[in-house]
Amino acid sequence: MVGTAADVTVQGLGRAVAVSFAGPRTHEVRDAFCAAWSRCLVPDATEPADRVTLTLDEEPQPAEPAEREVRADSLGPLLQSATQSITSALIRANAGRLLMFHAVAVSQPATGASLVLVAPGGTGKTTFARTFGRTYGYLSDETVGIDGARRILPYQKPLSVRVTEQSHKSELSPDEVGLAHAPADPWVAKVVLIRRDPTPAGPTVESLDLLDAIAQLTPETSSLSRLDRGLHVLADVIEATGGVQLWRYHEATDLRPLVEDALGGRP
Amino acid sequence: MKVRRVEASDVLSRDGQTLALFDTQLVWLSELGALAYERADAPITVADLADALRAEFGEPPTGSLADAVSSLVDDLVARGVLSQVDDAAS
Repeated sequence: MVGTAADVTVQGLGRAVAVSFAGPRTHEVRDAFCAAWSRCLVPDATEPADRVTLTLDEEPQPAEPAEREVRADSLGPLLQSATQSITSALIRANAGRLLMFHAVAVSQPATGASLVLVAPGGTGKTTFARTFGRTYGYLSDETVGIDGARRILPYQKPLSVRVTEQSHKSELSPDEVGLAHAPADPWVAKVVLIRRDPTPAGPTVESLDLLDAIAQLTPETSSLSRLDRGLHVLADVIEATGGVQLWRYHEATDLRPLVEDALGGRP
Repeated sequence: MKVRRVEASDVLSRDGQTLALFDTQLVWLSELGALAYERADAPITVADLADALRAEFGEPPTGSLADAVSSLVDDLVARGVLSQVDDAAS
């Protein structure tokens, strides 16, 4: 096959990003990208809020990549960087529009009631998505966007999974992992802060008062200060969903009873 | 010396405590700090701020009001809630 592969458009958080392919082996890169982003592909006619170019740079150039250009010398790292770049673009596109958390979210398929678990990077969000996203609808394992009516705009991105003996993470499609689809209209039923405890212990639950919850959630938001009356928006979500709890746990499976309770039982 | 508040993107109060959001920084304010922030919407001398705080909360239980307000202002300036204003510019 010759020529440069055609652009694709992906959608998350209610906005679209156009993705172009440059450099060698563009068809191979495009195929791998489309497989990983299977849940987010939308027709190219969708107006993109931003653009990203992926370049497989087998002979690395001394020059810095251009803005919104993602380069790597092999496919795996290129796809990992692409995920980060697209997530950043979607967050920028939603600044001042959505309340955004660093969070994983899953949803009760029948009702759309959704559980938002807020946590910093590297503290178990993807593991939670893999554990509970087969039973409940997968909404995101990294960034959860909430509009003014407490609806969640899904971002069914690939899961970035650490593979042993590999320096980069692998980007796995939610379809490949077997995660359930997002329901049509997911909405926030509960917001929880999670902290993974390295030592084995049963999960503990602590209710946080409003200002303490806001203080602990704010570092895990994106562009909160760009949102009109951002603290009030956050407070409204917290108060409308019965307050924030802090769940401490060791293994994601330990949280099963708490998750079932928060989402009104198993589907 | 005059001070003026740094405009927060949002301020939320509940039960005598206040949170103010500055860009990515969230700051807790006591009732005294919240009133100082409210009154410093235009340049204000520390003496006038002290009068405003006395009118609302009375004299401090220990020590002088001037010392307490000076300490409060220093703390709020250090935390980026108030900024010092050049008298000539105000």
